Amino acid sequence: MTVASITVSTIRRPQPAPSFADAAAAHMDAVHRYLTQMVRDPDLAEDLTAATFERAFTRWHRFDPSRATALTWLIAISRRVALDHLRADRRRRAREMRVAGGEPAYVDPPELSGLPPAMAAALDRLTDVEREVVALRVLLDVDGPSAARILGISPTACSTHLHRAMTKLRRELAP
Amino acid sequence: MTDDLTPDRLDALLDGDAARTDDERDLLDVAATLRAAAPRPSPTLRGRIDRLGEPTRRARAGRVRHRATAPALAAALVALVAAGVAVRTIDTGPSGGADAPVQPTELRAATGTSPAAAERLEDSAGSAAPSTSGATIVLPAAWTVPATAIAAAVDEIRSLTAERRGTIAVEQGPPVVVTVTVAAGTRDGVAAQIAATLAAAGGTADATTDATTDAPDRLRLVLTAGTSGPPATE
Repeated sequence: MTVASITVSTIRRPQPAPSFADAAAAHMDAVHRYLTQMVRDPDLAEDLTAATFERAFTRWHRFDPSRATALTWLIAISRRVALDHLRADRRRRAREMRVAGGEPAYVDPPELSGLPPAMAAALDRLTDVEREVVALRVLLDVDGPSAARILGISPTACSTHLHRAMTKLRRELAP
Repeated sequence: MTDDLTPDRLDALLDGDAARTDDERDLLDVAATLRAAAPRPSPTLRGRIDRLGEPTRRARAGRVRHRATAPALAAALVALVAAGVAVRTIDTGPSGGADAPVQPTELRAATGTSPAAAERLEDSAGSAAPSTSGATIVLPAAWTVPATAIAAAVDEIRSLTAERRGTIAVEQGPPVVVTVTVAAGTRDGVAAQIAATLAAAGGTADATTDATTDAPDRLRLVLTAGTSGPPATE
């Protein structure tokens, strides 16, 4: 068999798709971790994780394992779920402010239970995109190109954000 | 972190390269600390998400069982259709035309209806009764199913219901009372499948009873454990 024919047969072989139940069991922790990092609120992260899997369940027939891993697909959904929520929340706050006629008040982010205070403070000082990159690359072990695709940025930009974030974290957490 | 550690080198470290310097080791320590401190989902959330996958598992199990029992189901369906045709023949036979009302005595003779059930049928026939297609019983309500097969039959009904996105309530008896709720438009199809399932399980039915209830989306069955016998489709 030539190299060319081996390549063709590899491409034609369909990837086995995991069942939704298996994918949910395997990646629930990762999706929850990502959302916790993204919204910085444990209760909200739980709600958004549930919403993510509910949405994924109804769209599971669209999942194509030859295009993305189940984790990448689920994270992309969870990101949309979280962004939808954050946008709606921002609109709601703006509406309330308009009605109240006051200045928007600064709201402290809720404390993340389980994190050492120094680490929570260091994470708070990261920008949103830096926090997301850290979540994807460090907490979830997503590879660079996949993380860049999820975030809609170039792999180079993803590496730069990661480098900047880890530099800040190391400086903050250095003994 | 020193300037020697480039973004590319950082990527490589996170992708599994071994640390070569103290700086790199410190960096991997920070990553490990972050991973260790990450929160985990609560048991409530786990349960909620686990339950999402359950209908898929049940439906898949149901499909496998259907494949195995397909010939038996087909035979049982044919028998049920034949029973329906027999009832229709009474209606359109020499004693009346297609529009003639059904006489309770005719139904009783055709299906071996008990007096109590005949009364019910009589009510439904009335003086301006609909054609017998309305009185044809797709799924009898009372079944005697071999004791050893009753649990599997209920499981099968559960799978059928899940596939049609319906709900099922099972009161463990004796007798076992099963209430199935599905979309109104699919009820008769589900009823036929359930009848075939119970017949394939060796169940015998009291053909004078009817599992359809007043609610257009509900079926109610009473399964009594007994010995096997031929399906009551006469």
